[in-house]
Amino acid sequence: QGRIHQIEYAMEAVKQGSATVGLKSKSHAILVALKRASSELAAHQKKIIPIDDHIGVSIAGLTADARLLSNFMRSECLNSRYAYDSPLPVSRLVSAVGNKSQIPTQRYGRRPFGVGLLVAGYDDQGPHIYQTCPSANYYDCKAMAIGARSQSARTYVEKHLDKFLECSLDELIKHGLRALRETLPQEVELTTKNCSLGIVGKDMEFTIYDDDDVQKYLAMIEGEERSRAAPPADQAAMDTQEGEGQQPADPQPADPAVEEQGMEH
Amino acid sequence: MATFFGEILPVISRAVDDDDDDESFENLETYVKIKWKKEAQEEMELTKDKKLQVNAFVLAVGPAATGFTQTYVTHKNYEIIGAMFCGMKEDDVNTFGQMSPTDKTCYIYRKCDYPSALVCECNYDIRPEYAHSFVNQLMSCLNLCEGHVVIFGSTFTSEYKSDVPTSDMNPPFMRALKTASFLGTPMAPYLEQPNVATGLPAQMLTYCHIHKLNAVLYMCYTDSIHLDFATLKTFQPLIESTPVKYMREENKKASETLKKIVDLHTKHSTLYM
Repeated sequence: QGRIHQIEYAMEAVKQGSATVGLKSKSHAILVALKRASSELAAHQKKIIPIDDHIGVSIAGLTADARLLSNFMRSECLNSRYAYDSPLPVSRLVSAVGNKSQIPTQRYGRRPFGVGLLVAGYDDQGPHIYQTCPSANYYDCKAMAIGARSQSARTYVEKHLDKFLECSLDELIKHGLRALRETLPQEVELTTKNCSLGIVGKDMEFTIYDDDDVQKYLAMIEGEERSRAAPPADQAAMDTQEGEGQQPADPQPADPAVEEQGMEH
Repeated sequence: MATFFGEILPVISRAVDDDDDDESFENLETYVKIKWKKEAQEEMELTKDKKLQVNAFVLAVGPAATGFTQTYVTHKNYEIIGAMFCGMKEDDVNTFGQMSPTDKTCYIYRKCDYPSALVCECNYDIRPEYAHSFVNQLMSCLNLCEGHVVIFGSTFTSEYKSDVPTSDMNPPFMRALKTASFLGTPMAPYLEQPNVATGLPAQMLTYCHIHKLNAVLYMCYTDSIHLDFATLKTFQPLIESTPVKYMREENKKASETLKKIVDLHTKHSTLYM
């Protein structure tokens, strides 16, 4: 069919990571990320990684690949600062990541990077949110969400897209947290344990808020009513009560030899 | 192989492994072993056909199904009367008590106030070759003539074949299959062709069909490789299915139990963030 399955499989790996959302206003770019429960014995694995003073990323997918890419991004930023004495423009960094990601999709014996990144940065052109993909594509986004069940977050963000540009920082963060909350089932709430926040802006270096530092932002959306997720199309079918003595509705195969065969479908 | 300089070198063929394959398949019939509690065995001796009389039987296969039954059925008022053992592999992690939801165990529970209701929670990965032995050994001890059987299982949406892209199907979703003797309508849509159920759940359903038992198989298709809340919740409407509705135990702390089970399973996996 002309599909390159390895790349598509790698993109599936991104969907196995937990959700993360990126938003930007006129002055700031933020990342909010859902952290998976981890063992009490080990330190928390970072979901949002600082790259430079003006850039940070949040990851979804294979942790080790993410570490590699973020190390690469850090060294690119460092080299640029050393050579040109100015911060690396975000678009250039992202295209460097794209070029690096493309190589293992075409070389013998290698596999694509199994991680998607949301890059939040602030440079001369203003705030940016970029999304990178194992396919080596990268997208300049007004807002984006990736990871498990991120479709609900994308739907939220699409609904409120026109509000983000003029938002204050606090409002922007509230939108981000609400979008992230959409990816959670009704019974689970955002807490300081499962939520991470990263902010970069005009007069603000990339800063990560973890654990207790997130509390003041969570308090801003506490008590808000969550939108009831639309029940999946299956739910209507699921509600069929079991009846006794009813014949099954499925078509019966005409072949009389069916009695000897296994399952009826 | 002749080289450029004329010498002959031995060629190593990748088609044949010189070292013996250490993993020789265990004898198919004896690999799976079933052990009953003394009281259960004595009960079986007392009956005419040396079997336990069972009116309601639930088989839960895999972490999602067993998580569901542990939360809504066996968490209270159930006692363990037997277990099945299928060997432990190198990378299986078990707690000493063997009572954690992530342990590789297969226990058979009986309801204390409804002794003909049994639940078998199987957390092992039973290979298809051993499924026949598993089902035979288990069912040869049970007399299920008038009873109802329900089987819960889960598998990945990547196994699901349809002309609709899986992302449009809103995973996780439930599908069902039933035996001819079951005259009701299952609480989920039938599994469409060309999909097939495989493994232990299918083996059990086949057994029930051949022996003319009332049985339904519910298969949850999930897109998450870890056990997650959404997958567990897909099973929830099935607490009203026959015979679970007669066997369930009300659990006021159901949400917490589900959360704990999900956390237990996600803590072990650090590959994907």
